Amino acid sequence: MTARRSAGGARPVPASARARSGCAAGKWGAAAAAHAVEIVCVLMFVAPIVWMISTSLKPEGQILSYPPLWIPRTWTLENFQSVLARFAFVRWTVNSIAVAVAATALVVALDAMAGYALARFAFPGRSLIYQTIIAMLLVPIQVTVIPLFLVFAQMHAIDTYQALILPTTANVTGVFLMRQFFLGIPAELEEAARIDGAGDFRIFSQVVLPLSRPVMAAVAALTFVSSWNNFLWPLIAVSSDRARTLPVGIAQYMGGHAGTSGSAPAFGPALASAVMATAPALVAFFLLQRYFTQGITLTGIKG
Amino acid sequence: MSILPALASRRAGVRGSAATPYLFLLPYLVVFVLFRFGPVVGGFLTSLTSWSIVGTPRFVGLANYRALASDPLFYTALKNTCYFLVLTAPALVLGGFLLALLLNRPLWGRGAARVLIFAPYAMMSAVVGILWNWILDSNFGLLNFYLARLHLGPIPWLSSEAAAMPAIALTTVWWTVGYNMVIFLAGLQEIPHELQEAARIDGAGAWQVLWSITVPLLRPTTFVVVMLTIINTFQVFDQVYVMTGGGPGTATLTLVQYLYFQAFETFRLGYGSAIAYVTFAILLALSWLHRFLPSEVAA
Amino acid sequence: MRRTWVLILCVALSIVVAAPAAIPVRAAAPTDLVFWGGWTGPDGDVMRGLVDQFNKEHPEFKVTLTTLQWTPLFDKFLTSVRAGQVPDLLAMHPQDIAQFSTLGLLEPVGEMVQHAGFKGSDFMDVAWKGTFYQGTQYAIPIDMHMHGVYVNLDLWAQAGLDSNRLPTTGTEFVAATKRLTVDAAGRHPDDAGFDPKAIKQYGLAMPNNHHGFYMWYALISQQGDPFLTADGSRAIFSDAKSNAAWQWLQDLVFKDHVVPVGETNPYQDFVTKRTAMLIDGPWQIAGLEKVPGLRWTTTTFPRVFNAPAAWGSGHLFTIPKQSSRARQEAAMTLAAWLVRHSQQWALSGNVPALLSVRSSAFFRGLKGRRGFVAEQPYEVILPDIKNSAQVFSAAAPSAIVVSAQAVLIKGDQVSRVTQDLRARLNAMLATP
Repeated sequence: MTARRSAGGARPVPASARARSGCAAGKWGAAAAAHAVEIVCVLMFVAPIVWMISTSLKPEGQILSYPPLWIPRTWTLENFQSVLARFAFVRWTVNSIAVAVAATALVVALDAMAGYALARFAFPGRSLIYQTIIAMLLVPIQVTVIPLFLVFAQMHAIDTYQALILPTTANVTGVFLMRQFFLGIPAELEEAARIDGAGDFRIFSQVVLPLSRPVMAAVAALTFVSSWNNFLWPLIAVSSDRARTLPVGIAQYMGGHAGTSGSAPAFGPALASAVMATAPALVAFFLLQRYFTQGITLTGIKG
Repeated sequence: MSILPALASRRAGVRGSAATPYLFLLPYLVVFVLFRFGPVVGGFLTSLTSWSIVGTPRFVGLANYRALASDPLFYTALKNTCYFLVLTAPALVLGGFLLALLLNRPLWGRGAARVLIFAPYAMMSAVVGILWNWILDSNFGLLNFYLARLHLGPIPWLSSEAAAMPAIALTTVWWTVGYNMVIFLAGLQEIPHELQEAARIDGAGAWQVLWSITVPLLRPTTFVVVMLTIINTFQVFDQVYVMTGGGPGTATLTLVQYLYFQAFETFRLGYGSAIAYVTFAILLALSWLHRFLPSEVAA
Repeated sequence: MRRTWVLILCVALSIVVAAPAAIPVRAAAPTDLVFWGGWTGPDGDVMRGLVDQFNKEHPEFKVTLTTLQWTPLFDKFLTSVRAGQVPDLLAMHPQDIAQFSTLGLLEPVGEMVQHAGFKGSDFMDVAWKGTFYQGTQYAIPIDMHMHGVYVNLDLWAQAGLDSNRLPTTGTEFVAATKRLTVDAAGRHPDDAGFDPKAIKQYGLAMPNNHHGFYMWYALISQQGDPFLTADGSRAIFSDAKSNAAWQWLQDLVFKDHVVPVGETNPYQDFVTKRTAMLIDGPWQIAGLEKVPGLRWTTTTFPRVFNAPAAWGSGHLFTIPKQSSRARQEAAMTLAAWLVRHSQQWALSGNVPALLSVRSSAFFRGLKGRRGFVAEQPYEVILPDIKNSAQVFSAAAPSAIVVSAQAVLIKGDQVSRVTQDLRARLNAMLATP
């Protein structure tokens, strides 16, 4: 990005140069307006979440009432109880967690090693391999779901953890980010270690990795969320509660819409399940949003 | 083993064996070939067959693609997907930009505001779909209630052909605009303060600073946001599946929804693969468009 | 650092390799039974209760019930056949038997049913016949269900109508719905100055998804119009009768204004008293009984044309083909037990197929079934064709849903909808 002289530099002072000559009230007005807009924006994003929680705590009779009540007249946990009693919600959550944890660990491990190889070593085929990997970024995931289904069906491995973990492990963004990051590390440290006689893997694990915490955290955060929220492939790959993940369970049992059989589920249990599915994710998000933001920023700026 | 830092010697020590890079790469490559690259190729091969889910494949060459070219539902899906793109992409890009601008200012509570606006992104699509199914309910939904307060008639959001896609667009914008905001914020923070200060000292008003400095310097970031937004909105599936299933009628049938319908609800795996590949080709074409933009934009 | 690295990798690999959901080796002991059914409404709860009871009474078995809406359920069935992991007991309808048996996925169960102690004369004729395809029996029936009309007795009385004279013909029906539709000023649809934009209460709620198509099917059957050829290879319904059927349904929405336009949830509309009547099946009964302050009854689907007819179907249990005969026999034990507990299943609203239960005092004493029972001799079941899952799919872009929604939500011209429906159906029927 080259800096350019602002076009305004050669022009006469515009009459509306409030920033400099504006009276104090004008400045306060602008600030107040900005804060007002900020509050409205935040409300628009937060209100639906609050509404979700509020509805989940109401008995069904109150939910279908008009005008809508933001604060329940009577609180009840019956929707949550209904969901937990009728569906294997806990099992779905456990499945989601196990799959996400395994996928994240594998992705960070495999992608770090792959990214390092692509960044630091010159070997025949490197360019071709890297270009092929990156090219997959453009391929929408939907292209792969049918063949993936056939592969796992052939192995009689549909409806298993493996079916859910392995396709996620084949992600591309992680390799990309790792490689970028490693390219940015000065080579001197590794050279020094090599002179000291360290082998390649040792250099990798003892010199490079400790420096890579930011990118590893970012890749871990991105992968975990991506695996947690993954929908299309698990929808296809799962046929029983054994491997059913949270998004699929909720969509299949709580989602009802015009066009499906006339048994749209009641809103209370559906929203209770939504709250139960979201609460841990939101909590984790608030605690770890720094890493997540970092990851997105790295993708965005460099990409 | 001590590691002497800053020994800035360019002498390459004895490298490990020539196999080392391959060993580092191997675990990833195995997974990549088996579960990413292989299926991409396999998908193309499948699209050349007629394959019912419980049957055996039969090679039919390009017959699926020919059938697709004269399939009215395919064109409906294409049209709907483009319509969805037109509804959401500008809102997502512009919205992300404006929010980032707003929250880049020294406002009270902006840290919390950024997190809260980004928070919906952490929710899974099924949850977002269910929540908005409820908010958009024709009789008891929150949105119609507030519209009624403004004397705007109740809109049957998810059961009217005209309103269904806008409803899904609205849901999508609420859900994901925070992501774009984060990228724009990062871009904004890379713009050196001195430039904006210099301009203001020179007498430029806030608008001029925006147009002459901020926007041009943000072009690479904007480009990334636009590309990511287009690519993601083109592949929309989750919200449509949960909220309307492609209905009412075929009003919200998108390309991926149609793929899923053909492959897993009508059991034509070959045909579904063909739809997937055509979608892929369109996306490729869209992303190559960037070659026609001014060179300074190409990141 | 290295040790942490290795530790993380070990954890990941162990999850991948030794997970409880690892590549399955089917349990050797036939105790873990997988049961699939499509009851996602209040009737699903009744079935869940029955399964729990079975598990308690039979500690040597552990049945897991998976419920998904019918269309996705059959989709999943086919994908799981492909993946080599079929459920042990699969519920379906008479019109689905042809497809799955032709694909070779269902075990003929004639002998097993006999061994379980059942014979044809134990069941309703229609139900028993529905378990056969081309002379082989593939299922054991448990119930029949059909479209009926729910009536809110309080709103009925408020409109000054006599609850002993519920409508049976189309004319009576439409007249009643008009009496029950009131706008903000208290006017009815035929009154001067009626404002269709300010309706406070509608006369009728009716489905506009694949059940909308089922209503059309009933109406052409009422006109004696055949739907498909006997071999199911072509659609042969006549334009005139099809148009008449669609038109009658469409007029309720757009001309008479007795049905809200663009309903997403007819059941909800009835329960919240937005409408006074509801066309739906008996599976809603279990839920309706729990709604406080709702007094209701049922009557038959209106006879609009020459003869009475209403869409109907039934639930039956099939046993998918698999390698383990022991599991199949265990599945039959479960099915037989469920059929023997038809009395309990009757609480779901569905009409039991077992004659002994159907004619029992218990069943006759159950509230609100009379409309459904009265209709049962006239129910028309969808034809049993080889690609029923595709042709009668309830997924939004399917031909039957698109046509119903074009008529009932968009208000499209019915002659065009008839043409499109016929064209799409023929395209699918020609290539099973």
